[in-house]
Amino acid sequence: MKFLISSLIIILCSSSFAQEKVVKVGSKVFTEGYILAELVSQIIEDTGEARVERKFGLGGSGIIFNALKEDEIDIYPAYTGTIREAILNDTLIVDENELRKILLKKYDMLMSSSLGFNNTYALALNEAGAKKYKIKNLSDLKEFSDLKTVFTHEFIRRGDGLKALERHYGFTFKHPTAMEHALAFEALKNGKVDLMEVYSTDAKIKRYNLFLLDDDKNFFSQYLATLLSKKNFPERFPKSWAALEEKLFGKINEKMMIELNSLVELQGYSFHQAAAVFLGKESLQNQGIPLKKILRLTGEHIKLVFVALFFSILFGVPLGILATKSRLLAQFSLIGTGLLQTIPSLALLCFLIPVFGIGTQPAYMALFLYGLLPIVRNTYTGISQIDPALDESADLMGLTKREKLRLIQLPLASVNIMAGIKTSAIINVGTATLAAFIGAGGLGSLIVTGLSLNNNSIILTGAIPAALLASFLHILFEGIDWVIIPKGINR
Amino acid sequence: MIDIKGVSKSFDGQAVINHFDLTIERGEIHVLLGASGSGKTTLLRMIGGLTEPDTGEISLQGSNINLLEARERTTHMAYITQEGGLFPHLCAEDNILLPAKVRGLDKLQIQKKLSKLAMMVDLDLSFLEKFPHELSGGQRQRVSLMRGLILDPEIVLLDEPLSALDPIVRASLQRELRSIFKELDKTVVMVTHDIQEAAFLGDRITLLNEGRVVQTSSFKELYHNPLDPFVHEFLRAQIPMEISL
Repeated sequence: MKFLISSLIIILCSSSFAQEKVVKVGSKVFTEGYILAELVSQIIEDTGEARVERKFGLGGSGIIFNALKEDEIDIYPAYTGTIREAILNDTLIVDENELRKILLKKYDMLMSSSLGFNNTYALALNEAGAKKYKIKNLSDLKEFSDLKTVFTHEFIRRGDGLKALERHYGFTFKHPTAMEHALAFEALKNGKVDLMEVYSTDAKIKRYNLFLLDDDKNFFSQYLATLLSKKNFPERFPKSWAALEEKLFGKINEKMMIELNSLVELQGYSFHQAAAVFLGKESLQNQGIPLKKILRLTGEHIKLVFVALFFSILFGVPLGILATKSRLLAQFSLIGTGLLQTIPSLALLCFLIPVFGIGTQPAYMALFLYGLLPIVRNTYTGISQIDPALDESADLMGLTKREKLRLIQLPLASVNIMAGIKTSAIINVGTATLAAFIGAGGLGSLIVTGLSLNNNSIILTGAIPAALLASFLHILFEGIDWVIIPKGINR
Repeated sequence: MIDIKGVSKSFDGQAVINHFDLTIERGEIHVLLGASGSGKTTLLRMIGGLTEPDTGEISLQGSNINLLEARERTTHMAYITQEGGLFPHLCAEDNILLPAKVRGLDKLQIQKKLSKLAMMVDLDLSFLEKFPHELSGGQRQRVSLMRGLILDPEIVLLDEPLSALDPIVRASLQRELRSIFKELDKTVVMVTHDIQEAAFLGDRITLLNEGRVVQTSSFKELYHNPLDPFVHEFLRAQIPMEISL
C-alpha cells in the first residue's frame, strides 16, 4: 500500500513536472551568440519537449558562466578559448578533451562537442591579393614579408598577437600599420593594403569577399563553438539533446557562420529569422534587405507619422484658435510649444520612456508634441493676419462666433494652416526615424542598424524610402491644398 | 426711424462726437457730410452698432440699438463699407447669399431675390460665379450692395461706398443708388466728404464739424441759407467753380 501511494505521488509529481518543463537558454551580447542561442532555442522548441525561456544578452563571460552554475540558465553557447582563458584562466590546457574533463570534474558541467567552427583570429587577403599572390597558408607568407599589412592596436600589443605569430612562423612583416578595425576593412577593400587580421566568422569577410589564410602551424588558439550545460541536461531533456546532436553539433562550418552573421548584421534579418533559415524553416530571401521588410517598415513609418499628425491637428488647430482669443494665451501656447521644439528629439524620447515605456507609445507622444508647434503657430498667424475689415464684415452680416470661425476665419487661414500641417508631417517623417532608438520600428530601424554596423547601404535602405516618403507627402499635401484651400485665395 | 439723442464718443480722451442729436426719418436718404476727422464715420459706426457711444442713446424705432441682438440688428440694418468687405474665398454669389444662408432662409425665394437684385444693380449674372479678385471695383461695390440688400433691411448704412471708384463708374452708380433706394423705399444713412455726391443723393444733409452738427437741411437750404460761416467755407472749398459763377 505504502509503495502504491508513493509511486502514485511520484507519477503525479513527474507528470506535473513534465507539463512545466522549461529550458532556460542564455546568450552573451553579440550577434553570433544571439544566433547560436536562438538556434538552440528553436531546435528545442521543435521537439515539443519543453518550453524555452530566452535569457539572451547576459553580460560578460563570468556572469553567464555563473548563471549556469547557479542554474539560472540551463544551456548557452560558449567558446573553448573563452572558457580556457577567461573562466578557468589556465592556458596550459592543451585540447578540447582536457577542457571537457576539467569542467565535468570541477563544475559538474557538460561541454558539448564542437558545433563545427572555430571563431578565432585569422589573417585575410582581399580578393585581388588572393588572386595575385596565390597564397593559401600562413607559412607561405615567408616569401611575402613586404606586403602592406594593417593590424589593430590590440593585436599588435597583446602577447599572443603579432610578435608571437611572427616568431611562431619565422617571418617578420616589414610594414605593419596600426589601424582601427572598421577602417582597416575599408582600406583592404580598396586595395590600399594587402593583409589584415580578422575574426574568422566576421560577417564582413563575406561582404568584402576576403580570403582567409589557413593557420597551418596551429598558432592561433582554438575558439571552438560549443554548448555548455549542466551534466544532467541530456537526462532531463533527452529529446532536445538528441535533436541538438542531430541538427547542430558539427553542422556549422566557418562559412555558414559568416553567412548567418551576415544575414543578421548586413541584411536586416532578425536572429529568429536567421536561425529559421539555417534550420530550413524559412527560405533565404534575395541578397539585400527584402522588399517586404522595407514595405513593412515604411508602413510602420507612415502609421507613426499619420497617427501623430492626426493628434497634432486635433489639438494644434484648436490651440491656435484659442491663442487668437487673448494675447496671454497666445504667448503661453506659442512659448510652450516652442520650448518642446527645442528639446532634442532623442532627449525627448528618453524623457518619455519613464512615462510610456519603450516602443510606439512614447514615439507617438514625441511626434505629436513636435508636430504641434508648426500647426499652432500657423493657425494662430493665419487667423490673426486676417484683414480686420473682413472680420468686421463678418460681424456686419450678423454671423455668430462659430459661424465666423467656420465660414470665414478657418477658410481664410487655410493656406497657413495647411502649410503648418505640411511642415509637421515632413518634420515627423524625419523625426520618426529616431523613434527606432526606442524600439518603435519604422524606417529608422534600418538607419540605426546601419549606423551601428557602419554600413552605408543599410543606412540608405532606410534613408531613401524616408526621403521618398517626405517628397510623396509634399505632393500629397499640394493635392490636399488644392481641394481644401478655397479657390478665391489660392493665389 | 432712427433717433440719436445726446450721443458723445471720445477716443483716448479726444472727443470725436460731442452731444449729438439727430432724427432720421423713414424713407429718406440722409447724408452725413464732413471733412475727415469730423466724426461722421464714427457716428455711422455707432448707428450700425459697431461702436458703442460713451453717453446718450441711439434707438431704432424706439429700441436701443446696443441692446439688440447682433443677428436681429444686422437683419434690419445693412452696412456697406468703403471697400465692400467682400470675402475673398467666396464667389460673388456666395458672398451675397451668406447672410441669408446663416439665417436658413428659403433657397428658392433667395435665388429669385438674387436675380432681381442683379437686374436692379445692373450686374450681369455671369459675374456671380467670379471671385472678388476677378471683379472690377464697380462690380465689387455692386456685389456688396446686393449683399446688403439680400435680407431686405429697412435701413441701409453706407460708408463712402463710391469713394474708391473712378469718376465715370462713380457717376453712374450714384444715379443707380438713388433710384434703387427710392424704388425699394429704404431709409438710408450715407457718409461722404463729397458735396456733389451729397447734393445728388441726399434728401437731407447733416454737415458735421468737430463732432457736432453744424446744420441739417436740404442741399438747397444749406447752399442758400447757411446757418454758420463754416457751411459757406466748407461748400466754397469744394465747389469753387459755382462760387465764381
